[in-house]
Amino acid sequence: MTRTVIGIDLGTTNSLVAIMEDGKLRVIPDTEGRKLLPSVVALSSSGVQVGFAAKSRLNDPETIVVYSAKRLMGRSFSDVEQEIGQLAYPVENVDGLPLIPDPFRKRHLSAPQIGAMILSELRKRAEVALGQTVTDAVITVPAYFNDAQRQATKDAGEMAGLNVLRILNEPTSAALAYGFGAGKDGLYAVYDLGGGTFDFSLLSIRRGVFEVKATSGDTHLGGDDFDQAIIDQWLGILPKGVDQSRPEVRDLLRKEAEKAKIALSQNTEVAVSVPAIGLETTLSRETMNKWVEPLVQRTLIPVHKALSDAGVLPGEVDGVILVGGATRLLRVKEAVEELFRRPVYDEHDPDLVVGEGAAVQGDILSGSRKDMLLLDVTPLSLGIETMGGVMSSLIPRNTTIPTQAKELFTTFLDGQVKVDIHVLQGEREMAKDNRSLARFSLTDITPMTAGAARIEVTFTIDANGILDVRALDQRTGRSQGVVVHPSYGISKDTVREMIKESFQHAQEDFQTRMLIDSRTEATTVINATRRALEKLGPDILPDEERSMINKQLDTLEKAVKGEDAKLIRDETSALDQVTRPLAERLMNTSVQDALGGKSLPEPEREA
Amino acid sequence: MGEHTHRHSGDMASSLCWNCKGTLEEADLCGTCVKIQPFKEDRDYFDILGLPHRLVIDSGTLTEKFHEKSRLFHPDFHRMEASTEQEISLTNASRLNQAFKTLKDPFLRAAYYLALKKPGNPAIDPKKRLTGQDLMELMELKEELEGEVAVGHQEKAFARLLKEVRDLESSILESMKEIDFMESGVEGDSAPSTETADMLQKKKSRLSRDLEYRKYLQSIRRELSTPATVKETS
Repeated sequence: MTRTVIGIDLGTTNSLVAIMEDGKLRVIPDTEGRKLLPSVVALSSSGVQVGFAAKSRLNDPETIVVYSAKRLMGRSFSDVEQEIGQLAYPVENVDGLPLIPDPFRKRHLSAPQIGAMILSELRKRAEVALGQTVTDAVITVPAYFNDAQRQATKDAGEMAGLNVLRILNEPTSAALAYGFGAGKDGLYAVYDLGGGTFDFSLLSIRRGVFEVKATSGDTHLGGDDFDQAIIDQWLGILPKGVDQSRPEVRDLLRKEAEKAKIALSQNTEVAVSVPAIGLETTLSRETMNKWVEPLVQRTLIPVHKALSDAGVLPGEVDGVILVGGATRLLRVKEAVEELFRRPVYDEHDPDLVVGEGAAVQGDILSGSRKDMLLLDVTPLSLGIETMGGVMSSLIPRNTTIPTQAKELFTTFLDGQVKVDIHVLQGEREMAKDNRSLARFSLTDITPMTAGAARIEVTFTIDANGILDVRALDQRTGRSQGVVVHPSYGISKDTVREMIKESFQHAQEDFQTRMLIDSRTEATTVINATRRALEKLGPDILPDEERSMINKQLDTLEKAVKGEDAKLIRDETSALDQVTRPLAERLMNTSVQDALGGKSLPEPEREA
Repeated sequence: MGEHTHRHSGDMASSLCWNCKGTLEEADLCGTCVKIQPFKEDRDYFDILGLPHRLVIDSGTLTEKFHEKSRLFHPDFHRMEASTEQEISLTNASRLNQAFKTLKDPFLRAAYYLALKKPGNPAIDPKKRLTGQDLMELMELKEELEGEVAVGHQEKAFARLLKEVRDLESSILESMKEIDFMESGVEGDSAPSTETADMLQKKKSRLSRDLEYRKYLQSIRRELSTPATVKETS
C-alpha cells in the first residue's frame, strides 16, 4: 500500500485538508461535518484553541485571537508594520520579527508557529478520518509567495510534525483539482481572489504536463478588502456617539458586510440593519459594485502583467478557472468574462478547490501515478547585490523550476579571506527596493592577491521554489563554506528550536494516536460482533445473553464517539468479557461439528 | 576551452553507469539497473533534448522532447529515492529547463547555435558583431525616440520602435531558414565547396550582427518604457 499524502490549503481566512481515495477527491470534515477550519488561534489562560472554537472568542477581552497570520508568514516586522494596525491582536517587534505575545504562557509566537497549530489540527482531522497516522503532506501557497514565505510555510509544516513533500502554488492546484491534464489540453487562466490574497496564473496543459507560463498577483488584495470597502462607506453613516474604534463595532459591520455581499449575488437590493449600533440602510447591487470597482480593477493589473509576460492575448486563453470565495461576487465574474470572453470554470466550490488540487498532487508524489507532471515557475527574479546597490538578476522570474544559476566571485583586496554576498528577490532595479532573501559569506578563502580567487557559487531553486546556495573554490576544487543569515523570517536555529518545542507536544500527539488506535480496534470488534449476532439463533444464544451483549455494544459505541482512549479500551475488554461464554460455546460447537465430520456453516466461520 | 571536435550524440559507448558500473546503451538511463544518469558536462542543449544540431527546430517536436525528458528527470518522480538520484534529478532537470528555454526562443537558439564550437563554425568575435555605423544608427534612433517621448508622443515612438524590431526579427527568422537549408544540404556529404562555405560564413556573420542589433533595440525599448512600468504593489 502506498502512503497517503494529504493535501492542505493553509489559507489566510480558512484552511482545509483533502485526500485522494480510490481515485476520488475527498475534503475531510471535522466530527461535526464542517469542511473548512477557520485559520484562527485563540490564546487564553485556559489554553490554546484552534478553528471554530477560537473564532467564537473573537470578542472575548480575556483572549488573544490570532487571525490572518498567513499575512505575517516569512516576513519581517518592517514588512508588515503597516498592516499590523489593521489587526485586532498585538504584534511585537522582536529582533526584527513580527511576533505575537502569549502572556498566558510567557512566550512569543511566530507566524509559522501559529500556522503549525492550524496544520496540527488538520493533521488530526485526517488521522481520525483515516484511522492511521499521517506525516506526508502537500501544502499550498499563493503563487506570488517569495522564497522566505515558502520556507516559513514549510517550517510550519515541520513544526506540526509533517513531512512537507511539496509547496504547491494555489492556482496550479486549482487546475489539478479540475482534472485538467486528463484530456483537456489548452491554455488556462486561474483567477484566484481569496480572503487576503490575489493570484493570477497562466497554465498550459498538454498531455498531462502542466506548465505554469506566467504568474503574478497582489499579496494584499482579497475578499477582506471588499468587505472593508463596504464597511468604510457604512462608517460614514453611523450615528454620532458610536465608538468606531471598538473592535466589536467593526466585527458587527464585517459580519453585516459579508452577509450583504452574499445576498447581493441573488438580489438586486438588500436591507441592512444592525440595531446595536444604529445602522439602518439599504444597499443595492449597483451601489456595492461601484464601491468595489476600484478593487476589481486592481485585480486586472496583475492579470495584464502575466498576459504580457507570457505574450498571450486574453482571447487566446481557452478558459478561466475561478478560485476563492470572493469570485462568488457577480461583479468579479462579470469583469473576468468581459476581459477574456472565454468559458469560465466555477463548478467546483471555489473555497475547496485549492485543497482538493493539493490532494491530487499528493497522490502524484505518493508515487501512485505518473500520468501527470507539474512544471512550475519561480514567481520572482533572483539576483545579487552588486556595486552601487544595484540588483543583478541571475534567474529571471517565470523561469521553470528547478533551475540553477552559476556565478563566479572573486576577492578585490589582497589577502581577503571572506566575501559577503547579498541575495535578493524581486523585479526592481535597486537592491533596497527588492526583498532581501539572505546574506551569506564565503569564508576560508586562501589569502592571495586581489582578483585571483575563483569561487563558483551555484544558486539552486528546487521544485518547491526554495533557494539553496553552494560554493566551490575552482582552484582547489574544495567546497566553500557558505554561511546563510536569513535577512528575515526565521533562522534555521530558531526552526530547530521550535521543532524541539513541538516534541514537547509529542505527549499530546501520542495520546491522539492512542485514541485513533483504540477507536479502530473497537470499531472492528463492534462490527464483527454485530455480524455474528445477526446470524445466531436462540438455540446457541439465549435472549438474556443477547441483550446483555447488545447493551455492552451500545456502551462501547458511545465510548468510541468520545475522546477517552482508556475508556474505549476498557469498554472493549468489557465486551470481550460478556461475549466470552458465547465464543467458547461456538468454539465447542465447531469442534463437535468438525469431529462429526460436518463442515462449519459459512456465517459462523466469518464471525 | 580550446579545440573541440564534433561529437555525435550517440557517442556514449564508453560511458559507465554511476550505480551498477554497467556499460550505458543510452546516455540518460541505465538499461541494467534503471537509474537516471547525470548529464555530462560536454552535452550541449541539443544533445540534452535529443535533437539534431540545427538552427531550425519544429516547436512541436521540441516541446514533445522536453516533456519526455521531464518525465524522466523531474524531481517529483524521484521523491522517494536515494539522495544521489535526487541530486542527479535536480541538476539534470535544471539543465533541461535551461536547454528548453534557450532552444524554444528562436533568437536565443540562434545565438546559442552560433556560439557552439564545432568545425565549419568559426567563432565570431562579439566585439566585431556591430560596426561603428550600426552603433551610430542605434544611437540616433534612441535620441530621436527619446525626443518624441519628451514631447508626449510615446505611442508614436513605441509604434516606430516596435516596427523596427518586427522587421528585424522577420529578417532574422528568414536568414535562419536559409542557413539551415544550406547546412542540411551539405551535411553528410564531402566537404562543401569553398564558395558555399564562404557564403555560409557570411550569412552567419550577418545573423550574428542582426541578433546583436536586436538586443540593442530591446534595451532601448526597456529604457523607454521604464517610467511607465506598473509599480510593484507589495
